[in-house]
Amino acid sequence: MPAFFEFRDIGHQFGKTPVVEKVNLSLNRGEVFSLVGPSGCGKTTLLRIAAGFIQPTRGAVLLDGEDITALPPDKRKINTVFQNYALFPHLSVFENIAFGLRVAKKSKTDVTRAVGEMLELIDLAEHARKKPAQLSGGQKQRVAIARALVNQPDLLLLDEPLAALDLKLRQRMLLELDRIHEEVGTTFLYVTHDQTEAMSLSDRIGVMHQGKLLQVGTPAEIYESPESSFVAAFIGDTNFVVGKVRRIVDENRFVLEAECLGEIVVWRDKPVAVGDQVTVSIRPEKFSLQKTRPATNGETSNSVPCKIEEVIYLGPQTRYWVRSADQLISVIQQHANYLLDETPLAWGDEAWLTWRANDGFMLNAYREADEALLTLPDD
Amino acid sequence: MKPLRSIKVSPVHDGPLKPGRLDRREWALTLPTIIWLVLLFAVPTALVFLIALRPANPAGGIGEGWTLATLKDLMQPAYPAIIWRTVWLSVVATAICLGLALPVAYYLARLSRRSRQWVLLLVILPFWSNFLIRIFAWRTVLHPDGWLKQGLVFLRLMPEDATLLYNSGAILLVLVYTYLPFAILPLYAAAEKFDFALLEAARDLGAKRFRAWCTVFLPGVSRGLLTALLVVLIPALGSYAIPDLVGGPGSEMIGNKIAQRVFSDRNLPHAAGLSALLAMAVMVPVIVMLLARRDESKGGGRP
Repeated sequence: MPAFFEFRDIGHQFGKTPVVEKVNLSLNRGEVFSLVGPSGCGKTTLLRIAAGFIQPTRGAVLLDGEDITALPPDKRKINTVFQNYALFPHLSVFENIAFGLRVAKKSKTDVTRAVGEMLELIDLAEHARKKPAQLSGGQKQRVAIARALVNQPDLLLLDEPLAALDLKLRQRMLLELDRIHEEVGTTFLYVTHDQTEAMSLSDRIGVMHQGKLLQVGTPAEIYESPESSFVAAFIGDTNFVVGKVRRIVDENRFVLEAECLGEIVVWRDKPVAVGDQVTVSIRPEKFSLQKTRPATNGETSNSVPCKIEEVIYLGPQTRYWVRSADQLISVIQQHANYLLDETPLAWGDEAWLTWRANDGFMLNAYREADEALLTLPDD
Repeated sequence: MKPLRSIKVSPVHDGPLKPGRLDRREWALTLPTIIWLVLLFAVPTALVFLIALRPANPAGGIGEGWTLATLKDLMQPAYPAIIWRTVWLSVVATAICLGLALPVAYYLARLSRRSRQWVLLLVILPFWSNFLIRIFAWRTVLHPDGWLKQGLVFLRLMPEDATLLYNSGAILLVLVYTYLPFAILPLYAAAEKFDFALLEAARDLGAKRFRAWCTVFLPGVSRGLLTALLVVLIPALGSYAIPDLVGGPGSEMIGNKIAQRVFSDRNLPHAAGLSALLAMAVMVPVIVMLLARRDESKGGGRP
């Protein structure tokens, strides 16, 4: 099946500064795709290229097999939900939603019917006569979505649509967006710097950094098998274990001489040879933390002694920072059982850190700079 | 207009009003403005209207008693033509000013902050020299022996005997020249506050460039547009120096007639009558516009 929407080898620069480099991306019809990355990573530029506000320096944009790179925004069957809503302040809610239909010279009955349906969809029928200034942030957001959807676009672009809302409202709007998507079935291209937003809403995620699309995959793929240290550290939290390959155990496992942790067994996600420099990412919740040395099988799992340096109780889980040899490791322990019957681990305690070889994931690319993205306790 | 209204808005409080104290504070805040307006605007305007109802004194003063003679005098057959010329010159000059100022304000607001300062400086620069000096400069430029006329004749773009100076065209040109900055500044102030993402939103929804500009940018700067309209139209209607210096005998405006009645005819009541007529011509549309604006801000939106 050919891609429904496609960025083909897109490159863009402002003056001499490249902001987007060699981006290739295909969206399937009807999916919710999120572009995530820190601010300045080029995701908004990419969105504006899709909308037609920016002509890319190189590459092509295809919609339904047709090259639309040169089309102006008003000629594209693509609509945008703008970051700060961009509702027309002089028009009522009704007229804001009707704007696209009026421009398209739809008949009066068509306009009334289509806008009525949209007001129904966003559940704001009783506010139709209000001006945007009289609405709350969440209501404005819904009007912006309705206004963009009323023309029945092939692709809906959402530019950080929830950035201006508070946390509770953001969570409600995420559910609302999910419901709207289910009802209209339009393809969504969603841009955000918030990885939890992207994870909870999307079918697939693309992680961007410094103008490049680093990795594309389902939320679980991105979280469980990040290809680079940036993706691993930006999506969720993690620990990096750096070392050299000591010996190959079998086709699935090898032993890594880690810089701090000593010899550990690592799952062989990618082909390696003895002597290779390797970085493994291990998510904090993959560890288990015990007071006594567990009876582990050294072939498939690892166990290292450690000292608790920081304990943060969060309710459903506790976050620890433990030090083993010279490495600070972030650990999250879920509390599945009633906690008060147990003697919890406390600051300064000696403990054992255990994880299975295949709970870690070998990275393709590691940059020390990405360590800065990890959550670390203040010294 | 706007500042007066914002003063009247009392501070937000939920409890019962304490009318005495609050009113007094509001009065205290508004009083200087009211005194200023009464002394320097209301009283002189009333005097002008009153003098129009007094007889003329042969010595050039104001006579005793009351009379409607001046009102009858205003029915002179020469006046309708002058009033018509005053109105169309002012309206056309205002329209041209707004038409030129709108795109200028738009591009000014889109410029980077640095270059914007320089262009704004260029807009204000003419104010650094005296208004009369600038009109005299135009006389030199437009003079039959001036380089502009000679150049146009040389290029065969105009005949030898045509004139650039001393006609309605010259007045219109200098009116536009003089009042253009006054139109640009309030429009720029409005355009600077305009959210340009709205234009993108309109384009995104299918509107072509010009349509987006008309349906979103113009309403967005409507207040600035109204201010610019009043700031240009009112002084243009009352202009005196410009028609006096670059106009001819066939292109007088009301302002010239008022001056003539005062300085040549020494007939103050007649001058007052003309002034009252002009004041009413200016005030009636302004009051209508202000009322319209108040209704608009009170009423809800269209469904």
